[in-house]
Amino acid sequence: MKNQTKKMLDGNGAATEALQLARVGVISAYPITPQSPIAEKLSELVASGELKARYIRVESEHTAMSAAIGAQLTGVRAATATSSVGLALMHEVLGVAAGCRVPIVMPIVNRALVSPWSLWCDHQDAMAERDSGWLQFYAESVQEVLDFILIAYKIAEHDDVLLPGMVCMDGFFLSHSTQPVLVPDQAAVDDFLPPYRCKNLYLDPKDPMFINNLISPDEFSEMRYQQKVAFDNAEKVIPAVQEEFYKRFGREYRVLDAHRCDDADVVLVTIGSMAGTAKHTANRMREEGKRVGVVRIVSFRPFPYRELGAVLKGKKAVGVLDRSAGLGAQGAPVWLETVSAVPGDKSNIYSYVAGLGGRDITEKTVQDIFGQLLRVGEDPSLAPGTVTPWIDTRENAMDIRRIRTNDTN
Amino acid sequence: MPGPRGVLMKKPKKNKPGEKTVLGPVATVFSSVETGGWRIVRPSVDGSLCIRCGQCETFCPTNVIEVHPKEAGEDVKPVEIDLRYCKGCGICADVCPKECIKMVDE
Repeated sequence: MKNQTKKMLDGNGAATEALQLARVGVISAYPITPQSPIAEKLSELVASGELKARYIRVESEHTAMSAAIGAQLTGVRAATATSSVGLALMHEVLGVAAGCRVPIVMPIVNRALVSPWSLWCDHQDAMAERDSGWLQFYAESVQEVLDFILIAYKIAEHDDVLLPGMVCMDGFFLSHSTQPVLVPDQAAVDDFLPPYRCKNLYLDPKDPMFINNLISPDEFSEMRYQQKVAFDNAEKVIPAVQEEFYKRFGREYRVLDAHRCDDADVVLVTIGSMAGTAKHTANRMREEGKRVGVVRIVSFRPFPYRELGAVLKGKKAVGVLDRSAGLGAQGAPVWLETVSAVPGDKSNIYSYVAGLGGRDITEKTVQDIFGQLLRVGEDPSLAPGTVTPWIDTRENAMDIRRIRTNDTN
Repeated sequence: MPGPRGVLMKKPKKNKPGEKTVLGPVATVFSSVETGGWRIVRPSVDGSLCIRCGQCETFCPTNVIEVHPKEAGEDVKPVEIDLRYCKGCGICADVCPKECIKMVDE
């Protein structure tokens, strides 16, 4: 298409381009691996004048989000980005953006929460915020990082939505992976994303409001319900904006991405960059005659339960590959929501956990999962001896630290 | 329109000039509660011990203390406390280096 230019960008670069194209006016980003290049590049763009924005050097992510909310309420797109424990530090304030209906769009570079301390890819950070009242989208490629941020602005700022949104990209696997990206021209983005106006609450001395005041039990439910209505509306707004994006820029997105599922015997539910590996592996296995399919969750909040239920209906076996552990529940987060989405008998939906803390989800991992699913798909009674949910965890897990100690007792 | 638990949800009223429906927690009518009503003890200042250092004024969290300079005259109390809003927290008594403020029963 004529309104775009090809550039080689990594995920962080694509996020920065998208924020710049969205003409953000205030930036309050605190660096954290693997997001730091976003904070750094934005500061360079502001310093050079390429991006007309105010850059606030905040001392923490808590302040970063607080400053972004305050700034956006004055009528400007405010930008921040984070990962892992940075998002955890922001946690308290995320609720303010959500409850006060401030449509901030924030790139999240997915990285494990502590402890163990890790710098690497895991969905635990964003999954910990699944009840925050933020929209959540997960990108599979660097192109999607850029596209999803632009699309998210339009959804978030829609009159019927007015919710903040996270656009998630896998730490290092996307943030630091350089891929060819078609970058829309500024004029084309200006046409897609009009200048930002506060549509609901705002900070204006000429029309004063006291925003985020104390709400009694008499009114709390009603205000929380308003947010629920926004999520219900988002279910319609998301496909409409995706459709508009397709018409303008030629790339088609849906709330989920089903790959060779129609005639599949078994399907693997995926989320994030692992889907690329899963689809590639599925294609190879199809050549061997194995009827496998992959479905990828694009919009995690709101969760596309109707669409997912339809894709998974009647499958012999379904696997859900989570990149976070979701400890203490019957299964990991995406599995729990998948099981809820599929009507009828759910006993053939299996939870898998892999790729934690930066472990690569390889073709072998996906192949092993499909192998198990195909086996139990034919004979569910084989499940106990066949299905290994923590499929890429090594056998020596309980014994991984053998130490010399001064304790001689 | 049907809402949660079968309750029929009312549509919001139409907006008109000077009046509109907004979403989320917000207040536009500003009023102040006379927080002095919350007190159970109140500060009592012995002006003869006061050195007008200003610590009580600086540290009062409700900003209701005014320390007057000597130049204001003999008739003016060194420490003036707005009892309409003083919540009786006792920080002034605590920080006074001359211990000239005592908290007494309200």
